[in-house]
Amino acid sequence: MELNNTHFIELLTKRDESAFEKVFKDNFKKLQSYAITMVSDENVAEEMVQNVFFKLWDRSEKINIQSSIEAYLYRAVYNESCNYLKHQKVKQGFLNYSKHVMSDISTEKASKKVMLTELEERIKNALNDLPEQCRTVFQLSRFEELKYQQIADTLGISIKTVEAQMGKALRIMRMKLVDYLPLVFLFLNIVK
Amino acid sequence: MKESIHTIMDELIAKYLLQEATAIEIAQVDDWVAESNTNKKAFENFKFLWDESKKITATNTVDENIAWQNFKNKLNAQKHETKVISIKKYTWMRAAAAVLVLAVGGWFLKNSFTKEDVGKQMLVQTKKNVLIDTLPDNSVVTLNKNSSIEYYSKFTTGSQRNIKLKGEAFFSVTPNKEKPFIIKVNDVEVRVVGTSFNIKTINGQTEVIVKTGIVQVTRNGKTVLLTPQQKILTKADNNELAKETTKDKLFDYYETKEFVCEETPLWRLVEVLNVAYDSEIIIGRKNLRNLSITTTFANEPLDNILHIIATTFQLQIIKKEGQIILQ
Repeated sequence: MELNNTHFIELLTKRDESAFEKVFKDNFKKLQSYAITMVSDENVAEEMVQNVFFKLWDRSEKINIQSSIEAYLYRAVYNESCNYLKHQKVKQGFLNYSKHVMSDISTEKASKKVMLTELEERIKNALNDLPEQCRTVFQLSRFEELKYQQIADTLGISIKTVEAQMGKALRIMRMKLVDYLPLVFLFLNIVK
Repeated sequence: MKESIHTIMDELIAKYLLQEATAIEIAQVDDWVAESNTNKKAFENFKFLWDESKKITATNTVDENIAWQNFKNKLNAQKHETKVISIKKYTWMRAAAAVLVLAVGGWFLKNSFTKEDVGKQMLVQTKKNVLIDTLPDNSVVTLNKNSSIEYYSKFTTGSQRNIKLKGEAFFSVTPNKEKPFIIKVNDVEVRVVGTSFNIKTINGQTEVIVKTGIVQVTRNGKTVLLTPQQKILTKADNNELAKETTKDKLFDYYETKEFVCEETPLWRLVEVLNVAYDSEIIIGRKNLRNLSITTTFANEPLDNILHIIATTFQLQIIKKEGQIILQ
């Protein structure tokens, strides 16, 4: 049975476990992937998604879902992960620092690898700085490979909004990485 | 910024890269790229970022069925970013202990001393377990299943000791005449100086039974004093506060860890056992309901208790689909 949103939200306020289980199982993997791209740790990511569902169940009478349940879940995972990252920031700063030190003493061959990992790290950080809707649209497009129309349907927004958010996502990413990109091109060419 | 590009172009490039662009839009992007070296470079950057970002796609091995199991376990053991205080598990309550102690910032007890430092707001909540909590004034609260209390960590600094209750709890209050101990439950206020008593709420009704000392119960401007073995049960549809004498000694079973029956009807014992053991015991025949029992069951397995009941009244125990039928 396909659960539509209003129906699900109604069942949720009644704490219907089978409806909840369906939504949980249908979305868990996708939401966890989303969290992994944000927090870079599978276990932490699972915890983020578990927390989101836990809160949804725990406060089901009070939760106000206006768009779609998916839009709600993606937003909640984004917020949960952002909060986690905020708390981890000091620690992460230290890890990034030690990675830089490492790359200085590595050989050229190894440093390509570090470079790419660092690029990925930078892309990830740039993505994490995107506002929620922008980030979620990017997630559905790039990682879940949904078409614009499917993204619009999933999140209950217009296709025009999807276009705008994707343009914005790429623009912000490029702005954040623009000074770094020539360096990457240079490196790749040398190693080739 | 020198690299700034028109927003519309960004959207078009995104559509182009995602193969969402129409033939006209593709031509537009191609023209724009051909226009200048800067444009070409910008486009390459976009394409590079788009391709590279795919590399951080998460590969997860999680199985949603296992995740769902984890979720259910988590629900059962509702530990949630919290500070956990000591739990005494009863062996006859094997159910996973669940405690939730939250320190929350807001104020929701209406204090006459809001300007003083009342400390953190504490929430102690039980789900499937019974919990004993010692309050800052050394009063002891035994919370039955599915119940909660709220208070401030420094609630002894004010002129009153205020606490809020949902569900059922047995209070053993440390005497302090200067600072009355006040429990708000539903629309009822229970005021004591130092005594022990049980409060239970069922569907918005409130039941208070006193074990020792004197308890003052106020509701809608009416006040009564209760002494040991007395109880009141508020009714939603009227304002009366009618005192009753009660022979029931079972009410504090979850605090004493004993089921004390004194001429207790079978239905009442079954009611309490069902809560204590999460069981579904059913009395098979109506004429058995009021059979009277006088005995004390200690902390022992449900099957032992059922066996004693069955032997005493020569009943049969039938277990069927999770139900236990006595007949």
